[in-house]
Parts: sequence; C-alpha cells; structure tokens
Amino acid sequence: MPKRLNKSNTTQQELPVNAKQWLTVTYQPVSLFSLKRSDATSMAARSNLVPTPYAIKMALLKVLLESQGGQHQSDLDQWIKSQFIWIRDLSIHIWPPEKLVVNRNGYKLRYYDQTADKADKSRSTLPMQDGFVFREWVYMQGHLQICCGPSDRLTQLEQLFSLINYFGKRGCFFQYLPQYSQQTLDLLFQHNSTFGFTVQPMDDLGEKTTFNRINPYSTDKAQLDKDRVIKPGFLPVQLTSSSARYDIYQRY
Amino acid sequence: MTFTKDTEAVLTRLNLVLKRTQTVTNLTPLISWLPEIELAPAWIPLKTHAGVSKIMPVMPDLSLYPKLMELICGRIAQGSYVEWQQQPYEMTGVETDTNTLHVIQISLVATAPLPSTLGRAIHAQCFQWFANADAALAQHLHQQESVPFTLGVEYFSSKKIQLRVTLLKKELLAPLLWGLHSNLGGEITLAGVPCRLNEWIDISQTSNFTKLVQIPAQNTIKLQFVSPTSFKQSGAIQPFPLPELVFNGLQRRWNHFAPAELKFPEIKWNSFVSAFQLKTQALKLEGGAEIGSQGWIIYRFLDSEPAKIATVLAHFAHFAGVGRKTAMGMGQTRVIEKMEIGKGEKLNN
Repeated sequence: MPKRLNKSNTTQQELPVNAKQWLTVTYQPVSLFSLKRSDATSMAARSNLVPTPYAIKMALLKVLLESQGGQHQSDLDQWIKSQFIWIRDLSIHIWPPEKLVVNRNGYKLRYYDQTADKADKSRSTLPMQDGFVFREWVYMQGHLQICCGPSDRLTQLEQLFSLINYFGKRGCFFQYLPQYSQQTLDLLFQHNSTFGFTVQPMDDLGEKTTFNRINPYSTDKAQLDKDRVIKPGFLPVQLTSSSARYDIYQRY
Repeated sequence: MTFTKDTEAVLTRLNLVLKRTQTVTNLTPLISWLPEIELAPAWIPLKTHAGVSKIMPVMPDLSLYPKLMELICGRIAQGSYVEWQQQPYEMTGVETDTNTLHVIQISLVATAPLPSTLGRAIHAQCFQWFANADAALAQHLHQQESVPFTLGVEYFSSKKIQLRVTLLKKELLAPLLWGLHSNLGGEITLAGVPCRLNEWIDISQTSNFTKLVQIPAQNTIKLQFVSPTSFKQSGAIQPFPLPELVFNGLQRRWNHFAPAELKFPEIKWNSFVSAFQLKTQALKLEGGAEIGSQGWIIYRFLDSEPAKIATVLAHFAHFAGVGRKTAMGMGQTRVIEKMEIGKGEKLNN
C-alpha cells in the first residue's frame, strides 16, 4: 500500500498569499469516543466510528463562541453570522486512527422525562424516568486526522482547532497535537475505492443553513436534509472481527 | 486518503461486509439490491471469519468489476439495509481484492463413501466450472502446458471432503466463481458419487508476486508435502524431492506466471537435505497408479542469494504446488515455519 505523505520528510511548500488552502490537524484520542449516529432513533444507540463534519463544525463553533464571543457582545448576531458562514462552508475529511474497537454495552439510566414534564408544568421537581439504554464506546488506537478547507482563514482555523478538547459526546477527550499540523494547497485525503472502505453516515451542515437554525436557543427549526444533511462517508477501515459485544476495525 | 501515488490495481474480487441488525423496516432483498443491470452478479457467501459475514457479488469477467464497484458505492448511498437468507443485515462496507494468487476451499458432503483418489474427478469438475463461465477459456486452459491452477482434496471422513483450488492468474478467479456459483448448496457428481456442496466457499489465502518477493530470506526451509509429490527426472519418475527438482520446478512455474520484472535468473542452489520424514503413497489416476512422496523435508542453503529465492519459491509452492500432476491433486505443499524435527527436538540453524 502506498505511504501517506509524511510531514517530516516533505519541505513546507511556498504557498501563494490568500490562496484557498487546506489545513490538516492531528489529535491523540485520550478517552473513549462516542457519538450517536444521526440516523439512530433510540436515546443512546449506535455510535459513529469517528466524528462527523457536523460534529466537528459544532465543536469549532463552540470554541469560537467561548473564546471570542465575549468580545462581540454588542454585535454578536452580525459577527456570528459572518463567522458561521465560513465554518459552514468548510469541506471536512477525516483520516481515522489505525485501529478502532467498538464496545457495546447496556446501561441502566435515570434520565429526564420530557413527556411527563410537558404534561404537568406545575411540578416542583424534575421528572425522571428509568430506562435501559444501549451505547457504543469506541476505543481509538493512533491519531485522528482532520483535513479541512478550502479556506483563506487557516490561521484562525488552526487556532480554533487547538482549543477543541473533545468531539462527540461530552467527555470524549482528544489532545490536539500542534507539531503535526500542516497547510497544503491540495486536499490530503482522497477516497480511492480500489482499497476497501467502511460506510459511516456523515452528517454535515446544509449549504444554506443559518446559525439561528442550528442554535438550540433560537426558535428557528432546523430541517433534516436541508439544514443538516446526511451523506454516506467511506472510511478507509476494514471490519476484521465482530461479535455481539464488540467490533474491531483496522485501517487499510 | 493520502497517497504519494495512486496505484491503478486491477480488482479481482469484491466482498460486501454485512452485519446482522435488528432493523426490520425498509429491507431490500440482497439479490435485487443493486439497480437493474444487463448482467446481474451472482451472490456467493464467504465462510464467516471472526464473526464477520461477507458476501461476494461475482461477475463472469474481472473487467466488469469497476462498473460493479461504482454501482455498489452509489447504492450504498441510498440505503444499506438488506435481507439475506430471511435475516436483516446492514451493509457496513466493501472489501476489495487486487491479488493474483488465491486459495479457494469448497466443502462437500457425499451421499456414499468416496474413493480414496479423486484427482481425475476434481480435475474434470474444475474444467466444467470454467466451461460454465467461458467454454473457450476452459479449452484454452486444457491446452496449456503449465496449467495456471492446482487442485487438492482434503478428506475429513470417507463422505466429507474439502476441495482446494489454487489460482495463479488473476483473470481466473471471476470465471471460476461464476462457473461454480450455481452448484453451491446443490449437488454435483464426483467419481459417480452424488455430493452436496456447501452454500459458502472460503477464500483462505490470497497473495501476489510482489508480496512474495518481500518475504525475509531463510537459509533453512521446511516443506510439508500434503499430497503425494513426484518429479520427472531424465524421463523417469523420481518420488524423492531433491532440492534441485523442487526448486528448479518452482522457479520455472514462477518465471512462467510472474511479471517480467520479478522473474528470477538461473541459479545454482548449493543446497542439501538436512532432515526428512517421507513415505511413498500411490494415487490412482487415469494412466494407472502414480507414486509420490508425502511428509516433510528440510532443505539447507549455504549461500544467501539462493536462500532468498528459495524462500520466496517455497511460499509460492503453497499456491503453485510442487512437481507433477498438480492439477490432479498431487504436489500440494506448504511451508512449515517451526523447525521441529521431533518431540522437544529442535534443529540447530
């Protein structure tokens, strides 16, 4: 199998000023990963193997608001609108770690009962319900790489990526590795179907969606297939072992 | 994916990876999952390994696979839940095979005890499978001096056997699978005995010439002759696997099938037999009984270059067989990695 480009033995190419470019960032997974598949109907359900473009863009928006939102209190709406557009328009490609082990577990949980709460607004306590949920946790061995672009805001983008410490479910921590970041003229990850692949539904922000549609504090509603689109993603990993309790994937 | 260069490898096979699912809505029968095409693929399940279910959409010719791959990628985008053998599955991925060398295993159960020698019967059956896909190809193969496949039989009992077909050319996998798919789960007759084939096959090993030349050299090689093995020497039959007979024969086969840049030059083997445990066995073939050696033998090479080439050829023997009548069940060979020659005894390298 041909080798990936290695940053250490390639000279940093001279890039034209203001050229649309691509940024590749690398993370070390430091805890188990879980991100409910967007086509799942149950509460916890199956997990994606890697963060989706939607999850990555939401993580970017989160750190953008946390780090710079305070400076734009007077013009927040206008500022976030312009920032949201360039993040929304990013094309994101994921290079999974060398090995992925999906663990399947069942949990007995107590969680918020939305139906009971809506039915009786006079309650003084938050209604909870018992439930048995099924969840997948993914152990990742190796680095996760994200290549995104084309953009002329790579410096800002790199800064935002450096602030992200988790993807997917809260607490699924990833350590940003600054020494592996690279800016290139071309996209680094290109799917080649000569090698096999594993399918993962990849959700992303719709081409024309707005910040208000994906803002949970807004009354605007996001629509599936319009504001949040789901496309099949082809990951370069092979399912090598499977049982009722686990799946093992190996990168090609 | 990032590559310094993209290889334009030829697809020899596709596997669809399936996972059992609880989902029972929107299921499409697998056989009608792909859009209407002029020639629908045959669906051949593979033996489950490590809990992973795979199924091969088989075409009669490998030139049809790129188009099939396109269709699969497009179809997966629309929906990946299928029904196969009354069970719901999710299509989780696609595996591709670009290898040249293949080992295919097919299990059979006979209705009556089978004769101890099936060489001629399996030889005829294999040609029948090729002919089912392409009669001209079968005829062409029959006229070859060096047949690009070998055949073997493993007996589990007098009624339960496993056919082992090895292929040395990538062009042969698709027609063979296409030709045999209608027999899977059904009956064939071997040596006059009706036999039922398993519904699945096992492609137990794949490789290619480039991978084989990268195997690290060993100066001591232990070969196991699984089926009777013999050689032609000065017009007579030699059952003892002398190093020159084994490795010259393998080198001829290698140079016949390998790409030009990987062919080996003529070489003096400078080797000797350091240990063996062989016995002669007779195989009943059309022309009468064939005598061959069965058991293991250890060869030792004194020079590094012959040792390197011999190591590659020994691993090639797993696919190519050794000696005569390899397409009739003789010369089935494998490399044994452990150098043990007896209980607790080890050979000093």
